[in-house]
Amino acid sequence: MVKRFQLIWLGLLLTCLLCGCAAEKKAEETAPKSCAEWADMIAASAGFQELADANAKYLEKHLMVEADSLEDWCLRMDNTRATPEMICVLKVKAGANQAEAKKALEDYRKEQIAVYRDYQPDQVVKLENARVLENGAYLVLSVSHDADKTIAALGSGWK
Amino acid sequence: MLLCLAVSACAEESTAWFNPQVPPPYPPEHEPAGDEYFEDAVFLGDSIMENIEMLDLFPTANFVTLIGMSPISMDKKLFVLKKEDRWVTAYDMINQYPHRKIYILLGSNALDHKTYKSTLDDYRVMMERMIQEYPDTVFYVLCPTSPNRARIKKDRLDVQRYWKFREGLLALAEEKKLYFLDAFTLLADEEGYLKEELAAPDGFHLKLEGSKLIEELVRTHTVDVE
Repeated sequence: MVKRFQLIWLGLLLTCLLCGCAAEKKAEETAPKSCAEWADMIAASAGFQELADANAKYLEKHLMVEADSLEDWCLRMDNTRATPEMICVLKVKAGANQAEAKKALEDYRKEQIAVYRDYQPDQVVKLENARVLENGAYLVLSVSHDADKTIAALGSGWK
Repeated sequence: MLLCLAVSACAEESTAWFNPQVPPPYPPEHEPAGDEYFEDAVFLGDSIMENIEMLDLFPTANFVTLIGMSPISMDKKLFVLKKEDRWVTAYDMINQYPHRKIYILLGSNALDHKTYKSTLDDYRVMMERMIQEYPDTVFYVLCPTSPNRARIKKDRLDVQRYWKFREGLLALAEEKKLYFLDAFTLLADEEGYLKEELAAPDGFHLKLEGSKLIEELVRTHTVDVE
């Protein structure tokens, strides 16, 4: 009787493990693979202004992040610059200074708050609600009218 | 005292370097200049210019831009030089780049709350300083665009302010030997309001099509500086 229960438990455990692996594999398959795909996902989560891709020169000059320190990146800005809305997704190279890249994004957000406070105070709330999030080698800063939705769109594992 | 007056008079009478074969203010229209023309050019301006930078319309040029910048804030708003860990003015920032040509798009952030005369006074002070600081530079002044009809009404502005500023800037360009690029009438309707199809949702900034029109204006109106 005890042996039978043990066998049933073992069976259940194996089933759970197999299901877990399958779910993990499925999540892996559907998870975004590139920074551009992460950006697409964030863009779809909230009604952003029309965004345009910025180049490495702009990333380095305005966000002060060295493109050489990144394995992959995507920077999209409001294509009129009428608002501070943007999506920035960075994947930092192994061995590069990730803390520095994270600080650069946070500094940029704070600097934009100061700029917009004088310029268009109604836009400041978007920057105040935005947060720099980290997940492994990835960093994200998205500025939108609904920060909660964009954060939720990223799923778990971001802090 | 006399020396001071003489120096002051010289400063007031200073004019910019220009190509004697193409007297300012109007540069001739021609086929679009390639990116090589802009390798020693600095584009100076506000958010509208920063958008042109972000859209990479002049990939070889350097940009000195700040959101909200106006002629009077040229030495008030600061730029960071990260490697040197210090803050500098826009005048100093221009010196960081080759600047045989300087394109200026400023004034919109003053005209929305100041008179055209006051904005022109600030512009003149800025130009006099720039001519002194960059004596071998050719200056192109881009007349700032106006907001659209709805924005002008919302902000209780008068579109005549933009027409008068244009007139004053053209006169300043003639006096100081600056090349004048009329982005204002290019992007405005007959009454002077920014065309609806070019206006961003805020009625002030430019959609991509508007920025591209400015790019075309710049590329098709250059002068040889050799």
